[in-house]
Amino acid sequence: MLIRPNREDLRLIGYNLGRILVVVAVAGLLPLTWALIAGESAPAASFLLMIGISAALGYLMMQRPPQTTRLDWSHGMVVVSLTWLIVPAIGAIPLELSGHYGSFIDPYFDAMSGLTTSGLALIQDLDHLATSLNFWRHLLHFLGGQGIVIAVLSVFAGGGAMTLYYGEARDDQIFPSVRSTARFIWLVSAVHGAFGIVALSAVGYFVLGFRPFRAIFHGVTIFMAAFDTGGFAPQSSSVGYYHSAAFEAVTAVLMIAGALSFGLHFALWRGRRQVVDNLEVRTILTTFLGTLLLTLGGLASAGLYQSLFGLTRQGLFQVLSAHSGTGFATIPSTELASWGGLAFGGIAIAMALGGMASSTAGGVKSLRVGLTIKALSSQVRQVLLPEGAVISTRYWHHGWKQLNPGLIQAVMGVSLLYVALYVLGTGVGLMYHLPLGSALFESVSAGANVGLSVGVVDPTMPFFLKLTYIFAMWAGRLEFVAIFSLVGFVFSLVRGK
Amino acid sequence: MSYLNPASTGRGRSTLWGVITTLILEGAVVVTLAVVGLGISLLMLWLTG
Amino acid sequence: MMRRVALTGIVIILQVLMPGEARAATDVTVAALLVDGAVYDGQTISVVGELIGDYGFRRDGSAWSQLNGDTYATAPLLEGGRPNGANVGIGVRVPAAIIEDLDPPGDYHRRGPLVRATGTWRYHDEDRGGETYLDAVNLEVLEQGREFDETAEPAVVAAGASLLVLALWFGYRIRKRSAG
Repeated sequence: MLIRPNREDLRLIGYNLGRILVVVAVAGLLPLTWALIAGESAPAASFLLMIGISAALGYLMMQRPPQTTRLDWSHGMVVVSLTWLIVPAIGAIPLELSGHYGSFIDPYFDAMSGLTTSGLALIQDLDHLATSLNFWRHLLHFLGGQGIVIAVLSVFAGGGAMTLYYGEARDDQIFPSVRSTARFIWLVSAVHGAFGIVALSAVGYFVLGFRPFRAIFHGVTIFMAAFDTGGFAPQSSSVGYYHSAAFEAVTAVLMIAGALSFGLHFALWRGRRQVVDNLEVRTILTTFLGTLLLTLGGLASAGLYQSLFGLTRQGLFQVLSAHSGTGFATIPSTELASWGGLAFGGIAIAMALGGMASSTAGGVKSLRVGLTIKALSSQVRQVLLPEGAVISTRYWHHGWKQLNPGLIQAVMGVSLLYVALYVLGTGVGLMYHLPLGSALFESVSAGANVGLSVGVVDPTMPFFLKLTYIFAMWAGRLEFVAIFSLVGFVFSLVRGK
Repeated sequence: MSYLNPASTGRGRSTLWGVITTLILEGAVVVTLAVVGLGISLLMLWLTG
Repeated sequence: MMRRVALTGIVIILQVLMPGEARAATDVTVAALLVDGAVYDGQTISVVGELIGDYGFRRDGSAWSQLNGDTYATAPLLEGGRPNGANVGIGVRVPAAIIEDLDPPGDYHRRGPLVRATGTWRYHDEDRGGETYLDAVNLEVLEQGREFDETAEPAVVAAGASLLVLALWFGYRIRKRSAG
């Protein structure tokens, strides 16, 4: 029997949503400050409006606090799923007012893409966008990559934090408390930020010959997009704009950093040597090499790049961008669409598989891929061994762990849901008469939060297709559990007794 | 869920050294991938004539 | 109308004065280069567009920029132009001496110079690690760059400020209630 949520449940959810909106308002002060310094008055006004709306709504929702602020599992999941629907709407306000968008759904699409670190974009005339608005787009990557909820957890204390943490698809509990885990995540980000911004700005200034402010602007924006494996870029030609192997190399370091789980960052930080035994590390290396082989083979056979360095540079960067879920491109989408065959397949598979769990990357995640392979090989061994033989399978993931049926079930379940998500997006694309390859590619890119495009994502694409990709980006980022909780909650609200 | 108990990680390293090590490792990964990529490209260019 | 006649006149005069190589250049649009760049590989072409983003002056004496051949070059958004799709641009490399005295490239506050760039189209250039770009030897300025004016909408500022004040009042009430 479904129990209808009562007023107290709604207050609890509303109160926590309110806290999150207040933090978003505070985050909005950064681009506002940037706009004021850069003399961008219209964007500054739009940021002021966004801050006002977010703060007013947030504090309004906190007016009637619940009797207890402790969240249980279901409340936490509902808060997370609603957060990832409401915050893009708030974040879209300055984008909508910029005049760079057509229909009203487009800024919401871009804000969702930013927060989910997807990187697909419907913005028009990006090359004349105000630098503060460009900074805001990339800051959305940073907020979403670290996890908005994690941002709140770092600031606020409160029970039920664990449910919010897991609701945002984080599995690694690095420290005893979620709050200290959240702080560790911020510390890793800050350290990589210092390195990334300095290195990228230095390349921009000393190698590419940009003016100092522009070098820093490119450094800051590309760092946020690379480390959070987002894929937005400040100019329309993505990383191809820079025409620089040195710039791509620094970006590659940051993309790899972003695709590693924060648990692995901790292990590396502390000097643990067992990273090589780690199932995730082994899996991602294997799948990366496999997709690299496919892609380079495809490009070589198509004769697209004749030189050794050219083939390696272009193929390696695109596979790294796809597998890490970043979505940077060094070639136009029209050219990516023409790759075809093995190369196209290699990139699509890399996108679908994704990065490590508890990283900023999307996709099925290498831990699930590794566990699936382990489970399958265990099944094969069971068949080959005498009947009655007992097989125990274990794996290394920050310690030896046992592979049990419950875990296998959970892993297979989520993996199948990802496949279903990719198929759903492909189906909707086919409904609009897109070629199968393009429909599949774009759907995987959205559902795995990658952002590479073969040109389907465009301001003129059908409204329902935009909605489908918005849903795919949202569902892919939250890994489904929080979304099911929201659906269940709404159902109980309507049909419960 | 996995839990990395900081108490069981043995002798900890200073934060700064940990930072430098991680970044060097990430850089080394990029270099290694580039070398491997060059090898695969060489093979593919040879195979496809 | 008069503007178009004047521009055409300038182009004709410049083509007469141009070195022979440039006169033999094929006129191509940026869009055509992006759709099928391989077709023009190694050819001398001329492309018209707006220089945007940065002029990156490199140590080898070259400068890099991006040339956009979209409608925002002639109808910028801040001058009432309508959104008309994504930008359409190619990379351009020129000798630094050609570009250093030009108006700054286009950005939020500025429409960059409208130029006709002439040079060799390099598609998947082996000497540059597979990059694709226009290796230009000449940039003729068709229209100078210009600055845009932009101001904040008073209604937006007023709404934002009012809501912020309201939020601060809500926050004060919460603090007072929890203290009391």
